[in-house]
Amino acid sequence: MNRLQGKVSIITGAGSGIGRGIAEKFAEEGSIVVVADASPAGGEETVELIRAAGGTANFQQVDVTKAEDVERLAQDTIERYGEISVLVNNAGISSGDTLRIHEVTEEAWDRIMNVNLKGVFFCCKYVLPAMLERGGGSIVNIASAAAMGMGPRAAYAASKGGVASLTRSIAFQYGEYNIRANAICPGPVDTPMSRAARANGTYKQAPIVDLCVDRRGEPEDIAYAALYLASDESKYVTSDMMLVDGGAMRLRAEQFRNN
Amino acid sequence: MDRLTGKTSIVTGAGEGIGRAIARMFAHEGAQVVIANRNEAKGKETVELIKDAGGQATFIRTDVTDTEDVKRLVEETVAIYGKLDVLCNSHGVYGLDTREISDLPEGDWDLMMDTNAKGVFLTTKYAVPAMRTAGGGSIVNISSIAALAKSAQPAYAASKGAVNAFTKGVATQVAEFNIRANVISPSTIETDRRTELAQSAQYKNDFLAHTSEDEAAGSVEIINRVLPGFGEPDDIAYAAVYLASDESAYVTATVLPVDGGTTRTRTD
Ligand SMILES: NC(=O)c1ccc[n+]([C@@H]2O[C@H](COP(=O)([O-])OP(=O)(O)OC[C@H]3O[C@@H](n4cnc5c(N)ncnc54)[C@H](O)[C@@H]3O)[C@@H](O)[C@H]2O)c1
Repeated sequence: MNRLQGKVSIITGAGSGIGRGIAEKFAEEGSIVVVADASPAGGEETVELIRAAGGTANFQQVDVTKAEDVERLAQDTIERYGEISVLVNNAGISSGDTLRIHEVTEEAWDRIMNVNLKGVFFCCKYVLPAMLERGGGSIVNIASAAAMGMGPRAAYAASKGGVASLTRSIAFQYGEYNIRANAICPGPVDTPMSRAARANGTYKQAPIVDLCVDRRGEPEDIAYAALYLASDESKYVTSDMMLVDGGAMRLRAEQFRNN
Repeated sequence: MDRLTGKTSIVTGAGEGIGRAIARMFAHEGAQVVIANRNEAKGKETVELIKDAGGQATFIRTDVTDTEDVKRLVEETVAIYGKLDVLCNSHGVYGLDTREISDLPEGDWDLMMDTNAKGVFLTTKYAVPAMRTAGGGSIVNISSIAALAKSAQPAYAASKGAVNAFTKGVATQVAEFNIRANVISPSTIETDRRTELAQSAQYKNDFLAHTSEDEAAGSVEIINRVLPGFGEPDDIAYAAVYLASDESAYVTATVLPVDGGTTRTRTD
């Protein structure tokens, strides 16, 4: 188990759900893992899980919407481990509702954009200099299948569409420096976030209806895709939008994919 | 290395290039690999390479455009290894239609459609029942950037576009049997065949006729790509291992570009 041997990976939002799944998998494959999360309880628990399994990890309390937090995250990681080879931008929120756009408040819009899009901007901004210095790196952004098709969560989809575009621009700008940037677009994954959304009952349709694979995804499904993109196995892959969605959106997404 | 342990895999076009790299990587990850291609000498060479490295492989001579051949391929695979879990279609012909479409002989069109598109149909047709018996499986089809890009090889692009559409269609049909189907979409990968082709006088004439002088100085594809250099067969092989293995259990009906970040031509 050494597909990420020698790498130093920062994973945001690693205190829960998909981020925790990615952090555990990366540690299992030999990476040093920096668990960055706004929530100390969740973050510390992820670190404990990794250490108990024999991996190396430490927790950094970071609100990705605060530039100074993110700058400190990058600095601390360099001081502690000498480099940053992989950045996984996973921290994110979902309003969990399907309000139509004329019903969305400015505050709700700003909150989603701040965490899901500006947070990714900050993390890239402060980590990329370290990757340039190192002579390469891999950025894996957790967008969403919502970025690829037509769906009910307007602000959320817009924020994730922004992540997808930002990913492609980073791939374009930094390719010659051997820095790759790709996004994973998960479909429904069973996590505290999606359980909360389902529990509050505001989804107009069961999100599972449109899938080929007859189940919700698990954090591990996303973790394996992230592992592929973080590792040198994907050294010729950049600017990809990798769907890990149980075959969902199979009609709607095509217009974006085969243009 | 055990990401494909116990999986019986057919790899077509595995006598050279990308197919051979995939076959070797599959074997390295613990799969039993059936090398299915036309050229016996090359196919057996791949088998030897795998066996020398301690892996398991068998050669079954197959022309993917021949129904009887493909039927026998699947039957013999099941007879030898007891089941079929993975089908990777890595066969293909290319480099034929770099000329103007009005000059493209009908026979060249047919050859590309028969090999690239119909060959995938036939292997899938016979593999699916065997995978159903096995309780599930994964189909990985090697398509091309030409299907996503605005390619100056329209007939080749059409044959690969058929592969992409067919794969997604099949994926939706066979999902209920726990079978997944995905496409890998490579751009230029440095293989012996590709190097030979790029050096041939006809390719230069035809291909470069559509290319500006600047682009001709290097290669049009290189200029379009954000990562430096060409890809290697192993780049495709790693993607194929991911899609063949249970690591991608939640991935189906997708197209995975492994193309160095080809720009201008791709919008996904
Ligand atoms: N669960 C799904 O179905 C699904 C589908 C598509 C995409 N996604 C995306 O996957 C990512 C992870 O989602 P999840 O389902 O694991 O959610 P989750 O709520 O279980 O975990 C998200 C984590 O991010 C952290 N976080 C939130 N705001 C933060 C901030 N400002 N700074 C730092 N950390 C912050 C939270 O503390 C939490 O630990 C998100 O980007 C989400 O949009 C999830």
